[in-house]
Amino acid sequence: MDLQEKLKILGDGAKYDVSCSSSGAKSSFSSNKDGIGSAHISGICHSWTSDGRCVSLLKILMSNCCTYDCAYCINRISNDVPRATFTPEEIANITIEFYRRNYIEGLFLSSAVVKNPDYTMELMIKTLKLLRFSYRFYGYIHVKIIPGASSQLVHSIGTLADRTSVNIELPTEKSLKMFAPEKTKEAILNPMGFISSHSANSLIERKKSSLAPRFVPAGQTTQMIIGADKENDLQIMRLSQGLYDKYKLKRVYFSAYVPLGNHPNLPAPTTAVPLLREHRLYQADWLLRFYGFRAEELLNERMPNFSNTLDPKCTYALSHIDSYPVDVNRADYYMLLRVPGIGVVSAKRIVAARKHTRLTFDNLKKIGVVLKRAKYFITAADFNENLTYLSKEQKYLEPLLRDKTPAFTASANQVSLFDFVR
Amino acid sequence: MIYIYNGSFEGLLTAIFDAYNDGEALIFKEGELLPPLLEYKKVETDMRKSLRLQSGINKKLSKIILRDIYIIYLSDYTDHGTIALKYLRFCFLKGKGARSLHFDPAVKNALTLRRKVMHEADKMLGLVRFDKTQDGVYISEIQPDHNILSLIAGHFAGRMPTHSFVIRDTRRELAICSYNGNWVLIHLPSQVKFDISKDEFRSMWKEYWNSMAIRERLNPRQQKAYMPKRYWKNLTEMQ
Repeated sequence: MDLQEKLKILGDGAKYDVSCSSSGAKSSFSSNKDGIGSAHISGICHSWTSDGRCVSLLKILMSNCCTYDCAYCINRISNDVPRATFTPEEIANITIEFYRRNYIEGLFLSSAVVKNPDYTMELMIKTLKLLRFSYRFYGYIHVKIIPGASSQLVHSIGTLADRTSVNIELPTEKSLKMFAPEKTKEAILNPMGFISSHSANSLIERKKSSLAPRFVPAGQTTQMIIGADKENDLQIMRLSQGLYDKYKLKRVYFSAYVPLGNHPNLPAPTTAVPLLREHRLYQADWLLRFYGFRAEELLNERMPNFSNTLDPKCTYALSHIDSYPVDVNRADYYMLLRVPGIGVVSAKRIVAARKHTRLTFDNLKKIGVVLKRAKYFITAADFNENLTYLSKEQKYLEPLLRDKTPAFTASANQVSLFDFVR
Repeated sequence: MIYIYNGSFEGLLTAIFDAYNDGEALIFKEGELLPPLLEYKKVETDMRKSLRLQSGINKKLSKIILRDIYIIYLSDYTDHGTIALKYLRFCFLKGKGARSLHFDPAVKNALTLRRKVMHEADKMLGLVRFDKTQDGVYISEIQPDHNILSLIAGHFAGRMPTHSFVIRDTRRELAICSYNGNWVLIHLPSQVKFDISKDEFRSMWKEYWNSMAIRERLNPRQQKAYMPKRYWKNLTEMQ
């Protein structure tokens, strides 16, 4: 089998992994004069495929000869797909040649389970050592850790990679048992905890001395498949919140289930990919990470799923109508962020600009606030005729806040706007 | 009165210096199409005036504002001179904090233009594609909207410190040449051609790139939003 064919098979097997970012590692193996590569703090996207997702890293599998039989996965042993395995030399060579031509920002190495988790991880470590020490490659490397690998091997990977991830796979333990019988909750969470504590230690050590060894400097991420089982959005948000709190993850990725499996409990092969739901979850994820929201504030047992027509922040605002209106000239930064139509950029601009003058609606518009939504929830220096909606019943305000972009009304395929990148 | 400068950054600063007290002033680069029926004069580039303005900005305002002016200068946008002039006037009037008065048209126009230029420069860090010549030099051609070569050169020199490469802007006939991690900006006429050998990795990349799209979630509109069509000409995977 020639290299090009292998690359096609093993790239194809890796594409369902959504994570692609190359961010978070500042000048990783810094002051490079003799090798190749650098890392850019905010990550760089190199291309976008026709499904609109960015290509930042060379995302490939070490091998797709899997011994496991996870129902949702294209590489499961019972599936009839062409199989291939790379040698470490082949991966290192392609990575370097692609990197020199500026096709990619680094390597995203994942793998099916060949023989057993330890054997697979050893192959991956060999590849990374080759890249780092023989080719003197200083670019970005993201490695997927195989659940069940020994902690010694997880440690070696941590010293070589910029970012690691262990996939949660499915949002509930019940679905995991049903669809991925060989994987256990412990096998997934143990390496995550191991990396989290070692990475925190390494940060403390590196503050004392820059010579202290690096350990996963760009942090770790995870991903879960949504829509494969009957879990609700509240369960997913609680799990994400827990992962951010406990393991200090950089990102939790959601992957809308693409019907590839054949398990009787999985959605039928003709089911549409739940892209709108994925989009809502990412919007909510942003609220957790940058807006100071908690999962319990966004959803509760009475309302366990996000709305199709409203974005999560509007949903929040409508159910907490008593905390509005917000005075843009006085409210603190985090309160500003809770107003629909005010994002991180405009909230920062408001805080900076109001030191000099009392802001009017005209000022807010020029600052970049989306008044279409914000005007029902704020007071500024001049009169606001729209405030009366706050005291009326919800049914009057709700239709005014709906997503009216054709992307959400036409077909689910048109959903735009996710930024997997930064 | 229209002030016309010769296209250099020092020239722009001289023009701003001369036009500062002329409330009706517009500043244009040499060779631009001028609005009709207005008087104009050519500004003689004067290093002393340029340095005086630079040190004035650094002392009374901030380095960031000088950087803003430089990036606005690189935009090649017809109105860039006038936008820079009005921005500086407003900053000197209001002092250091002027930059955060984003609702004022003078600041908004300037910082919006700055953001456009920086946005394209950031995008180009990813969208530059190199081809290897027979001599082992890596060649890339781009046609950016703004004159961003000097903004991206440092990144690539740090990324490939042991390689020789050329990134040429064929629209402006400029190029950065880098050797052993040091780069220079040169004039490179379009007659100069490079022999790009048959590079086997081109087809390998195309094949890989094609296989990465998930058919069930095709979304070409989003692809175009992130990667505008005008850049496709120079992208290996789009040829």
